[in-house]
Amino acid sequence: MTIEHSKISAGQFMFSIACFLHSSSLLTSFFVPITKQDSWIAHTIAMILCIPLMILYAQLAKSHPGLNLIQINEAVFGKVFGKIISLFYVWFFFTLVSLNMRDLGNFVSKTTMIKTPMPIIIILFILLCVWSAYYGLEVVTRYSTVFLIISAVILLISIIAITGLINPENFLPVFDLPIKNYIQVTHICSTIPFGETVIFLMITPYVDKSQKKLLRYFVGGLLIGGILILLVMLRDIAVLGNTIGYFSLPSFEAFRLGILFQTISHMEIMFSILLIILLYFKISFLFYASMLSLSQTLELKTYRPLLLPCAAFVAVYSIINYQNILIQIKAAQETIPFLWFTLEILLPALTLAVHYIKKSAAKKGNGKEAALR
Amino acid sequence: MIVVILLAFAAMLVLNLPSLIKNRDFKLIAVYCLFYAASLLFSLLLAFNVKVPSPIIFVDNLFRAIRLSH
Repeated sequence: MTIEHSKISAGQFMFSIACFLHSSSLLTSFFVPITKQDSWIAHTIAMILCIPLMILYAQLAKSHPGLNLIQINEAVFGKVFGKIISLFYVWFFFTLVSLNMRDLGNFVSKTTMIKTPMPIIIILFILLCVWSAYYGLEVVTRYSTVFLIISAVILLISIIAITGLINPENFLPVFDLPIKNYIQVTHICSTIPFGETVIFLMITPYVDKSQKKLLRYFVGGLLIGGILILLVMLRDIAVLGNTIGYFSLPSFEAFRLGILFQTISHMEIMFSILLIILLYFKISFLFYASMLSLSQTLELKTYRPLLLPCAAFVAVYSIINYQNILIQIKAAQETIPFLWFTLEILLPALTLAVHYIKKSAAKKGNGKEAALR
Repeated sequence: MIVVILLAFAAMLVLNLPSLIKNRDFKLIAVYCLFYAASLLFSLLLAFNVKVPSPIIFVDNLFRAIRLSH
């Protein structure tokens, strides 16, 4: 059953992945306290290690043309077991929406709208996401390229503004931390921003005329998004050095220090605008994919009447998920990478393995039948 | 606060009810009722300052219990 009828171009798909990843720049605070000035090294390793993961996702989509993640689960594991796995994914996607919504609420209520209660910010923002999800995939992904260009320009301006503050010695010492820290941060980076691209398996059937070239777009999106986060991280380390681990929003602090042409200061507002734009894209996309996965798992004809009650559910879930940002950061550093690993890497790999085993068993069965005849 | 929540949920019902009745899709109505009731219940509990258990905290504790953490 198809709920989504619109198609998006391969370029839109790739830029959507890049934009989705770039919006995770805020999440660097999850791992910079662990590897400090060496965070960029662990991030680069994670980005390279995630290329095989993109191959896995592309292969999974290619082996089941016209099917999304929920439909693939049912095709491979059967109706009952497939639905159980799909329900885990529905929970995972809704959790991602609520966690990102909470991040946005925390960010806005602590930096730009200090006197506004966080639930009000969350409710207003989720209503905006309901609006875009109502019009479907085309509207949700349409502006990904524009958002990415805006964010790249702002990133460039910020680098120019902080040129005078760059100290190459801030990158030293290199590889001075225990190896365990690098492994932990590589694990966090590969599951929290990069592995979350598993959600794009929900829209692969709606990418126009390029099912065979999906790998190129998956890897392209990963590299563009990953390099943009890397630039953000390099800029922050160049300015803040090993004190980077003490800030909950390192990029915000780096922007705050920047002065352009000795006249334009308080550039942190640009960072706020950029982050709100990027998080709008990410949350809209996550919310849309959550609704699509829910309606396909439960075999509903449409998801539109469910948008408002689900948005209310997401708003409540985002308020109750963690009591405060410190507990969230602790969970993101210690347990979440393992949980996400199961859903982003282990299950897709198992799905592909089961698919190939079933395919080869079917081939052998056909061969035996032909020999008997 | 409670009045605002009740008004918001009533408005939601007014917006969605006509299309739900028109479609006569009982599965959709059941899923709608489930999400509507859950979000209304949790919103009211939050308004009354009742601590609502978080599923992600439950999973977090489970993973720590089986020593699956850094």
